[in-house]
Amino acid sequence: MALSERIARYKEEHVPKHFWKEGYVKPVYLSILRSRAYTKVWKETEGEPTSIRRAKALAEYLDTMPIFIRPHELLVGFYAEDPHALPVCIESTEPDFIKKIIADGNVKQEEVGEWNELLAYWADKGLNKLLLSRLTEKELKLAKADHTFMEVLPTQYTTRSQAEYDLVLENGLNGIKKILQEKVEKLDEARENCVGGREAVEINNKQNDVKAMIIAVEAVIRWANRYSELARRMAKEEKDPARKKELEQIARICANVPANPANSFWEAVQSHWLTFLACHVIEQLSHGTSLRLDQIFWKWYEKDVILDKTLPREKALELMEEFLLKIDELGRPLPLVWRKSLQGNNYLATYTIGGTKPEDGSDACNDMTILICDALDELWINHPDFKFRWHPKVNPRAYERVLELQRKGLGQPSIKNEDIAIATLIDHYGFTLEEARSWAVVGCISPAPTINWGRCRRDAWTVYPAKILELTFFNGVNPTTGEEIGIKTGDARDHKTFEEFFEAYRKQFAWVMRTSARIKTIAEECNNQLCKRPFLSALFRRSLESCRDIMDTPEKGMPWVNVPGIVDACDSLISLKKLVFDDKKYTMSEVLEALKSNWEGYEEMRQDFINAPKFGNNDDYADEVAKKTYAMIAEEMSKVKDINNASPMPSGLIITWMFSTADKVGALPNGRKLGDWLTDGGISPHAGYDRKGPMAAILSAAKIDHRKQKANIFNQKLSPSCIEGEAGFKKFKDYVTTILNLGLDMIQFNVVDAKTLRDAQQHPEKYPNLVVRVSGYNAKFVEMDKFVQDAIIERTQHVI
Amino acid sequence: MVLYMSDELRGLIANIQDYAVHDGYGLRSLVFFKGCPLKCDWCQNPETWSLDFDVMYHEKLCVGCGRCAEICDAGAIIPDSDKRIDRSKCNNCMKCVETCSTNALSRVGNWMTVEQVLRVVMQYKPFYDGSDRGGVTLSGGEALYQPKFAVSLLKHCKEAGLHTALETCGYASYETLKAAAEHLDLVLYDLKHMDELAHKRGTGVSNKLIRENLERLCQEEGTPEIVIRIPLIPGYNDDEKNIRETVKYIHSLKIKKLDLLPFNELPVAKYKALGMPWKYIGKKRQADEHLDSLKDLAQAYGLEVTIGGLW
Repeated sequence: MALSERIARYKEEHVPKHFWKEGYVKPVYLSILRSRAYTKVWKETEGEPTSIRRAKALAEYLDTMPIFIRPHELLVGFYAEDPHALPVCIESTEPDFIKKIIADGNVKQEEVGEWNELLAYWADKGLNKLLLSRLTEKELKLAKADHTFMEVLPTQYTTRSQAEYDLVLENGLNGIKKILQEKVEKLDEARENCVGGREAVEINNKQNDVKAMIIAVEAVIRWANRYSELARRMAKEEKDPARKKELEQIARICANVPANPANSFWEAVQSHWLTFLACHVIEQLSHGTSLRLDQIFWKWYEKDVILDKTLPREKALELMEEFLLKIDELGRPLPLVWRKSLQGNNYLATYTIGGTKPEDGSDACNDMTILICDALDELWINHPDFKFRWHPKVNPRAYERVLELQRKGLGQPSIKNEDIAIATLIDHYGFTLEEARSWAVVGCISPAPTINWGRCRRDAWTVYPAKILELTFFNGVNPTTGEEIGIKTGDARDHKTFEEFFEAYRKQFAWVMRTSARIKTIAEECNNQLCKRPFLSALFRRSLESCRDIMDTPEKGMPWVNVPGIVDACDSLISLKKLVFDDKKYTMSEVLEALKSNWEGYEEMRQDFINAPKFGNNDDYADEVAKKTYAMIAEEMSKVKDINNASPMPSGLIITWMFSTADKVGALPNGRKLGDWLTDGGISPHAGYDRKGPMAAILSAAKIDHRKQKANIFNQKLSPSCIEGEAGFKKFKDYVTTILNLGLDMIQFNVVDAKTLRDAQQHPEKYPNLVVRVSGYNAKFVEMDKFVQDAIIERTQHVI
Repeated sequence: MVLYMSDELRGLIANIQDYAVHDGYGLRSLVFFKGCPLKCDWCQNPETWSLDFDVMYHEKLCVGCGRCAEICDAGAIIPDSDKRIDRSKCNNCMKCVETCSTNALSRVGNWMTVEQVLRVVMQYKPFYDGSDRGGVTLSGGEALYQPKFAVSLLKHCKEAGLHTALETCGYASYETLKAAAEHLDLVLYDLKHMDELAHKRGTGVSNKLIRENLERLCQEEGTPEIVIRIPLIPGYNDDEKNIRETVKYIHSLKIKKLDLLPFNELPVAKYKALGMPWKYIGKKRQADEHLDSLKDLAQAYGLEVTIGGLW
């Protein structure tokens, strides 16, 4: 399979906002235009209702931003004036964060002065000020101590914007506007008849919010028309007849959508793209795209490609590929100091494919499921990220296509277990079966329904179980700084049994949960007050119904809390139980001394702690402690609430926290030293501590109750020689299916490539368990001689 | 070394490996036995030759603490040498292994009961059941070199409902082979060389017994499926002539499947860790074209052939 010439060119020219080393892969800068427009309108509209101010600001930006169409584009529209521009929402971003980016030189130099003026304007009006004035001094101190034991106040307040996009595709924005105008009439009438009281306030609020939604919807229609006009002008001047035709087509499409219902697959994708940019990037920067990409466009795809045959499949593939590359061009700004530890893309666009149909639970796969895999195969990109919903009756062709991509080493789509997702959505969060079956991943790995309860709030935060364990060892004191940041849970040396120590850990954890949930709730409320979402509101049935901004419309809560490094905490507890409480080989005082010294001078003891039982070997002794830890964390989370009064579940997600926390979490009883990475994978065993083999690691993970977790990613490395050929593929498929049948929530494979092997050669300590397998022979890679390793690397490249 | 002095049957096992896919159908566990009647000079698993413990020394993991030298009564530790152990003095007491905290010194071999082995392999049953005829393969070394234990283990595996396979050099008494075959679904049978003298030169033994055993096994009623494997050793048995003769021979026995196992240079580290020389240092895997031509040759006789044993 090869990319068409158009897409190959587009791929080369597109500007992904990926980090690489200390910069971006291509030059980028922070666009000032949105901040300028929002600030201008804010100054002009003082005293007006917030939702209307926000709608006018959106309109100002969409009406004035310079627009462009690139030479190879079939889909048009961008969030800023230039593909190299990064978006920022000045009102909801921490000022220091923007100042760092300015200091890094990632803004146009002639605009530095204006940036400073804008920052000064928002200093007492932005979200940061709201937070500062609503949290206690102590809460602020804890919340701002990022990456210490919790991360609860994001510096860029990116939200979810999981709109009901089908509303636009089916009705067009004009259809939505019509609904809103009917509401206006009804509200006018209600106002006439109102005798005052709370009802008068309510009616007034509704009138304002509906008016704001109409302003926003009209602004987006005008914006699309600007693209139509531009395409028409460009078509007139275009010499190449083929391109001229395309531009004329683009002009027609943008005149029709998103204003009106989409009539074709091309129109549907174009309509979605503009709608998506306006609500997901421009109105408020969001992350986690949360969409069933093979379902939302299916109706139009089926009509054009399969039934009427008016669109060749290759053309549809090209449109999908262009769409994915456009998603890959989205990005969030980050200061240099963060970029160093975050390589790759940070936009976290995640799409979901496969799964079941909400109405009857039958398999939902279709030719678009496969088309998307074809697009990923041709493009060979790992952003946007895809999840495939597996269930026992899933279409085998789609499943095999996904496995084929995993086997080729793309690392995606990762595979999610349908039953686990549906069970958690129904049992823990109380959604109906039909709602649960409509799920797509929101954020990174967490399932959320896409019907009835689309999300508009950022309903997740993060705590660090390993750091909280460290606080337990030192009675609430952070040993890396000497500061008392936790609560007093007793001198660890006084705990006579493992259970006593574990209870102290539970208390410390419970306190972190209480504190973080409280801060999180107040922060959400601040965001609700300031960042009204008139356009996003128009894309939600429940706000069209309630006539209120979506930020003031009830949402069914579905929070979760990420627990990166949870496996390090489990392993530490296991080693501690074994060597201190059961075997009594060491005392707690010796452990505290060793940890304080970062194991310096305690190497022999450290080796004992490394060699103690660990999670990931299907060893009941170790796995029971891990189970107990997971269960305790889930239980303590169930005692706190988010802004919607819903309780979070733990989510085994790591992203890049393993690097960012490395110098914040001190030495641990699993043998880890300050500065070492934490475990890189939700529920995967710590690299090198899975001493038995891949199957044993899976069996350990299967003992954890995944239905009590929001989501849990399991990463495994596989050697290409085990999965090659038809026979290898069949075994790979059987292997993956067995894992899913064992009840794991989510799996992702790293087929070990030459690059990894080379890294293993340089850093053998990171890969003690990398086994190279050929027939009848097995050996650990790191124990081999260099020239043999070289030979294997050579062969690995050959195989792949 | 301390021999196990109990009445309970035990086998000396080198290693049990999960997620094996190259040695039989489906997803399998491999049980590597210690002890082998052959001494093939290319052997991939030299740590399984002796029916005794072995000590391996991995230089890269050594931090030079010197505790092994302190604890060794036999004076067999040579500090600062890449060999580390004077094998002629070593009495296999394993004290050095026990004192080594970084696993630079490691022991090969565990005396295990049938139940203990079974407990390890049974934990992976969901994977055997989830794949097509997945199960357990006995390998080594030569499993039939510990005949009672091997047969008993196979019997118990079978009773536990597992698919069973044996990877064998065929050098055992026919009674042993037959007793094992009764509990086997699959035999992976090595034919290293058709020429008797060459066979003796490369493996230390004649191929007469191996061929007789195979011929007799083929005639038994209810024989398990037999797959022939040829480890291709550069310049020894990977020429067209030997392969053609082997293919003709197995064709005459009506055997349908053949695995050609390309040479690999990986064992060099094991030889080094065991302080042994190896004559195949620097030899490479056969070229793909050569492997393909051998495969074509065998397929011409109607055999199903793999290169590498993944099927």
